[in-house]
Amino acid sequence: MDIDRRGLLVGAAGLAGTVALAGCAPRGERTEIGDWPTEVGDEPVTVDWWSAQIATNDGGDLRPRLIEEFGKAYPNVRINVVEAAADTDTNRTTLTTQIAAGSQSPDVFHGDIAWPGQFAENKLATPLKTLVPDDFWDQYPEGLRTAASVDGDYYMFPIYIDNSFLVYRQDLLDKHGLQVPASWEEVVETSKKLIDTGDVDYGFVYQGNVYEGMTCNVVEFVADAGGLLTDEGVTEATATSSEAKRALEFMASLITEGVTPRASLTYIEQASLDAFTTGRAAFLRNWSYSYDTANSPETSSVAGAVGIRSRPGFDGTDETHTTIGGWGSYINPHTLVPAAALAWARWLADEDAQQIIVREGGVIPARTASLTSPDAVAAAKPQYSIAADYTLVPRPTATAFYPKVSQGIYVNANSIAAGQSAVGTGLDRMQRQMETALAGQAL
Amino acid sequence: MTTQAGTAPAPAKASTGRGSGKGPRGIVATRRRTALIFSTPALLLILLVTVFPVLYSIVLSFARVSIDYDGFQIEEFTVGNYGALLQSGAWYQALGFTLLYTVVTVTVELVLGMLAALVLERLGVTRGWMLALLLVPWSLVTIVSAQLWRYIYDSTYGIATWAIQGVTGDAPVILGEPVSAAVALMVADIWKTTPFVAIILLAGLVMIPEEHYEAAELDGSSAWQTFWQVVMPQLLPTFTIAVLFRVLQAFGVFDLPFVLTQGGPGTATQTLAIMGYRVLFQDINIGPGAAIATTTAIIVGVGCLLFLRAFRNQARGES
Repeated sequence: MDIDRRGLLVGAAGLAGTVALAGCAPRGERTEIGDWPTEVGDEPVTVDWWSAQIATNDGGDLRPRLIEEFGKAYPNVRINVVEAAADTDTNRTTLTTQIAAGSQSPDVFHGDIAWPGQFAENKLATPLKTLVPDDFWDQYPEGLRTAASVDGDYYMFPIYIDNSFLVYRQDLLDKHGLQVPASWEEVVETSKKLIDTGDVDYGFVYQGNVYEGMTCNVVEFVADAGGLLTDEGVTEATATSSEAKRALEFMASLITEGVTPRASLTYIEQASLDAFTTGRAAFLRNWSYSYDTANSPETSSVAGAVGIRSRPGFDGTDETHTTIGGWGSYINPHTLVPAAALAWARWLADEDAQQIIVREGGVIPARTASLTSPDAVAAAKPQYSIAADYTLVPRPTATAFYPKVSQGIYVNANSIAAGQSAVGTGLDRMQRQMETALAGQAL
Repeated sequence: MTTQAGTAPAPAKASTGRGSGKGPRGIVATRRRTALIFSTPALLLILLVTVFPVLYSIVLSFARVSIDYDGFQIEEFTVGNYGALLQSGAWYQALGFTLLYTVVTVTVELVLGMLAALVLERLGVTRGWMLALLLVPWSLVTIVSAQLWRYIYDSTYGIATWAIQGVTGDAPVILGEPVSAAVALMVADIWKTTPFVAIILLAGLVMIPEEHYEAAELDGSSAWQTFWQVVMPQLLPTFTIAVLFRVLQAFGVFDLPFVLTQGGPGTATQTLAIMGYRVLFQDINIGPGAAIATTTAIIVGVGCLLFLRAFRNQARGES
């Protein structure tokens, strides 16, 4: 067979072009989401579930137990676990490229609670309003409903949430006859006293690095002061409000008054936990697992001497606030098994699965009623009882541009807390950057 | 090529006889066709996994892309993505940091690598052992070495923090301040990559004939003169290769800052590669992300071409 070079190159280019066009071409007919069946049929189907481990009480994996229980209710639906990456951003990157390219798998994916805005805008998650009755969502706290929805539609079934808490050294409070602080002002006062005794180097530590954790802290402090960083529709920034000013002034004063070390402005979760579990700090703001870690002799030098309470508010306020972490189930809009995918995602968010999480899980269930159920009381976890009384404050995630909005918050908050920017100047800059981000003009 | 053409007919005839009846030109043409047929699968693979993605990325950089339930769509072609880059302070900052990072790390690595190579070249039987030791940092996966440096710089228990506190009395927050974070990043890169430069330069050094050193010594030149007038001119091609490799790697650096600083604090250590990743995958902003990737490739490509031309001219001048 004689093949000349020109022919070969033309053929190769043709093949590459064909493959490229095939990759770009629209896929075949796909059912409109509004026409999706919501009842699982009799045919056996498999749902690919992209998920990370859900912790059990003893550090194991709750997923096999949940799948087993679901199988009793839906014997025709097989759940195939696709292991997610350990890192949230890697997960998002993989899912984004995969689903945007039209992949039908995974059918259901485990996603961060901060993703609805971006995933809704880019059609990476299925809107659920037409598939689930409105009253289904009433079982979740208002803040969680807000976090799961964009423009009045829901995009995520909550599985479990996380709250932040104030973890403290009970032994030192007892030793020096001090009370557990009831407000931020008391945290400052008590911190100074404990530092003066020489028992700790630092008073209060938190996650002040230039990253998402700082945004969580800022959102919480602003809520403590009675404000929000955006309007409710997340279309306009309100970072120059008097409430935001009070919150950021307080955060800056934590450093200037020697209550919080400058090192805290480089802390992410683990670093702040290390500062506490090594006995250097008296108070720590961190997620629910930090209490268990700090009380474990294997991971902490202050085990058995640690107490937990809700994040306090400022003097004169009773309401306590936490932003929401956690994970939910999103349904791939390209799934070929919509009824089964919907059944699985919905079941995980509903009472049966939530009660299993309460009894056997190491995380906080999403349903309000599950947090106060007899199972929750029997579990005797302080995180549950505190979480039941919390006011949840979502981050402004209901926008496609949330990563840039958050960047505008944490970069400037870090700068203000470090004393590199005056509060007014820093908040003006935060406002401008958030406005640019919300307009979709930030790179 | 002339040697191949001249010697090709005999074994071909002897082995298969397929060339019988054809002249040397016919046999060469047959062999070329055979070579093309055998290499076609590999060429196609390269076309699919390298050439096509690069070309498609360039196309996307000139497009306004939206994602819908039918996948992503090119809505229109535009130069707006490049306009957005040119108006973006973040892009200029990332470009400036990437340039600074490249210049500083490559320069320091060349100096240290040259010193190490000169020492290694003088070593006798211990050279192999020293070489093996020197290669340890280079042999570590960057993700692992970056994580190790992260422990070293940790503001609570990092040994670097402890050492600096011992001298100054204050515990620094190394990765929390823009300047110290940038320096920390560069130190980690230099630690890892200097051995690579040293090995390349050592390969060039051992190729220089011993007689040239002896001649220089007889002429009474000092060690300094020998280095600049005997060693460097002959080392120039190897040196150029080392610089090219390192500039290409340093300008596209992603893994080290991704693990060590995530481009922070803020965007202080954000390289162009990190920015491209963020815009493309975190913000799902496909057009501008592709424009960042394309401009980065163009800048580094043009830089390398200019560098090659300058060194070629210098090498010609030397010869």
